[in-house]
Amino acid sequence: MNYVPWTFFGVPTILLLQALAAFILVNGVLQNLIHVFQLVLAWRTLRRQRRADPTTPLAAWWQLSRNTLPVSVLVPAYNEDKTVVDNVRSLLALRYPNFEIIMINDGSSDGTLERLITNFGLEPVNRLHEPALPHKPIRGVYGSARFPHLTVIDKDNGGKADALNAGINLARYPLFCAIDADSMLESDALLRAVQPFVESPERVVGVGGTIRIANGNRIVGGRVVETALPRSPLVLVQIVEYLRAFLMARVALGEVEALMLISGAFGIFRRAVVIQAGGYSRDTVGEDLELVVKLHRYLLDQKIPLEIRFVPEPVCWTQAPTSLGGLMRQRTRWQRGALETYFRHIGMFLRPRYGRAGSLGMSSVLLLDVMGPLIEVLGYVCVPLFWYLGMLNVTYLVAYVALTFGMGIFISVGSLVLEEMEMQRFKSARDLMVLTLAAILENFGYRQIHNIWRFIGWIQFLLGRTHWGTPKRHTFDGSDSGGSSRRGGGRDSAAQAGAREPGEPLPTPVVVSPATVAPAGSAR
Amino acid sequence: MLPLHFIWLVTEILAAISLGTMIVLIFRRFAAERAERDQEDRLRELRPVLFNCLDRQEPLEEILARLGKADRSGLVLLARRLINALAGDGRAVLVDLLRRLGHVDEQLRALRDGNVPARLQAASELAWFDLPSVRSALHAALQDRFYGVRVAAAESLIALGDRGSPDEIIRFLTEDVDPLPLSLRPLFRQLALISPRLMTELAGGSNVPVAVLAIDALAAARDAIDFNLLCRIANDHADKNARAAGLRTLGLLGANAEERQAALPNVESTATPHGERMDDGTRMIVTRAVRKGLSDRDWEVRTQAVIATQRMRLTDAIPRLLAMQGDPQWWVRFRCTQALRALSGDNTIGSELGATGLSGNRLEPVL
Repeated sequence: MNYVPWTFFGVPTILLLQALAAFILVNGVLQNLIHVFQLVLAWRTLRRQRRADPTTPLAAWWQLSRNTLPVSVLVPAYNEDKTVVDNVRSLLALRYPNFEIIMINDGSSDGTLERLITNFGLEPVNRLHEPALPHKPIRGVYGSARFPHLTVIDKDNGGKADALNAGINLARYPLFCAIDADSMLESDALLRAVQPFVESPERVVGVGGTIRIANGNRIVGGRVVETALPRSPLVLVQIVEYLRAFLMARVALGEVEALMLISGAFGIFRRAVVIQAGGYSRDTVGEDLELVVKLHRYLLDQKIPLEIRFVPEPVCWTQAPTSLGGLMRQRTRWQRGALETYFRHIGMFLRPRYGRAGSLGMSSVLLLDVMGPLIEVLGYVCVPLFWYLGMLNVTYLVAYVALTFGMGIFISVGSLVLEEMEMQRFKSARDLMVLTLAAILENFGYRQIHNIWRFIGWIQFLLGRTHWGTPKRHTFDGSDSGGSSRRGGGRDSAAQAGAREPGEPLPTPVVVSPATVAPAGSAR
Repeated sequence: MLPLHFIWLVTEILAAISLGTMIVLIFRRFAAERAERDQEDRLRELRPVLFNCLDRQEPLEEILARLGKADRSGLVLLARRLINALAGDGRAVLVDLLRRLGHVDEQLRALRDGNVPARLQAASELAWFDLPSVRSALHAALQDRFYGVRVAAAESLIALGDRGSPDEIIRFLTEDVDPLPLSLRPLFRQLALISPRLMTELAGGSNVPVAVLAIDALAAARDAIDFNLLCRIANDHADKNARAAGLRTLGLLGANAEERQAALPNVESTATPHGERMDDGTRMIVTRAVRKGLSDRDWEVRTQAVIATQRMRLTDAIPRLLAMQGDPQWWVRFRCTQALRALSGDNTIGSELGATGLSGNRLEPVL
């Protein structure tokens, strides 16, 4: 790499800085190569998967409903009184032959439980259950004669993972589906998501589905009745991000058996295996990522073959943050969750016994999520500075800019191409035009801000911060819910987006400092 | 060329390709939107024609003679949309209409030469037409390279009541397939209605995954059940899944009609369940096998034995069930509690609301 010597620093310093610039460029090339590989693999996989997939909800019912397994749908809720009734109603209307809904009120301080009791005619019941996983004490269990498939658990506040563990204990069916209280499943989502368990009942332990952003859609009674794009540019770029994360990254990682994350907003698991692995960890803000990594680790330690699959068609709608502050809290939390999990399970990295999860999966996490934000932010600061100081020539600068912006546009627009070629979920050509514009423009400003947020997440991780943040909540129809609440949604990293804006700090977090999980380092 | 120049060039080319492709896709979507609008308009105009066919106000030949090529394909689309929602005469008219519109030949061609979605659709839709050519094509499709097409062809053959091919169907659906999908379960149950002897043969066979499916399917069979074989499987089979399936099947065969229907919702069997016509000798050996299952070494098998006890209403097993409250496995204890409540008459609200009877003081502490 050419440079103009700047005598003030001396040769060793200049060589060091030059090496740093080269490292930044090589890392950028590597990251983009991974993305290109994911894009191509995802395209091939989607083409294959879509061949036999029923296209409409009615077709899915005809074709899939004969072969299903019973599912317990677990919905942890913390201060969700604005949306909880609509949410339960929409779940009760799911098209699925055999399922139960277990709503877990995680010590809400608002009227969540009261609204459920009033609207669904709940009465205290005594539900016998296996105390297989630890959780905070259960205050009461409620059932309804009118809605026999609905059970509500009222328990002390312990966080989302704690609530899910309680739900798993009370679940009666071999599969459980964990969803967020502010998420909306499409009516045929369960039918489609359960199919991998039907196809390979002995091996599949977890299945994730696509999360899409509900902002802008017409929502009635907790159901999306008409899709439309939101007006907010911030939400539009998140839609593109979610496409990249779900249609590209997860489809590809699932195909190479290295899927490390099933979003907490929508995932189905085999109950018995999750119990054997120890259930959800209550001491991390990224419990969904941690569970999947833990399942890989546990089953491969036992030499039990497993499959964790991603199915693109079952769709769960979720509300995306609409303010920069809310989005920042979400993304810093996702970053912390990824770092906690990565360093907790760093022993899997490149160990042959963990197969592709240990090699491809953990390497991908390391490059994209652990090192990604650090290198990107370093590049934003160093490359222009070095160029300004005359230590880098224009050719390097142009290559760096091309990698940052040109490849960014290729990956984002490529995901959109993938969507349109294989899924066609957006309603009109006009929507496609708007999203193409968003896919281009997100590279100029949003991407940089996003990486700075992830960098902040890194700092918070090093400082041992463990709570969820304090965002504003919205009802399904988009009105402000008064900024009450919550226990924390499913996480995902920036590259693997998937859940929702976080809620209030958990009153009872278990502090996990970097020192307790691993040597201080990085994560994605 | 320097590596840096190469990076720049490749990146810009890729970005341009993606943008160019997206622009093409946007134009394609514009065209598709327009075509869809036009098609819906045409279908709206054709709906009265379809209802005219269903009402039989005119002979079909006359109606069809008035239609052009585009209208005929529109009518096929409308009939296909409607056919699964109809039964009886209405459905027969639509099947006849589709046949006259050339849909059979079209689907036979698709099944032979089409891509996977087309073959899947053809394999399913051909079940509407009970014709020798259709049966022959479906038999050929049992060897399709895509497994889903094979399953769809098998389901269509069974729907057509093809009694000559159960062993062929099973061979093509199970040979070299590992693991066997659960979606074969309802198909095996339907086959058990047609050929219980073949199912019995498979149940006693050495291929364990197939045997487990066959044992399960025997619960749907109306007659020709070899209870001795089932009892041997339930107690002595080396594989715990086979033993559990055997006990589940015995429990269902010995259950009343309502319970059996609830457990086998997709099986259209109207025959009187065996439980209501089982002779004393058979009932005795089945009861003995179920009782023996209560002491099995595997908890999954014990659980199925407890469920069978409840389904067959074996009240004399209550002391044994009470003793099983100390079972190390929670699910066995849970099913015991359910069975005890059911057998003791407290079955009004199942086990969930149990504040009375056996539940409150005697059973819950052990759970």
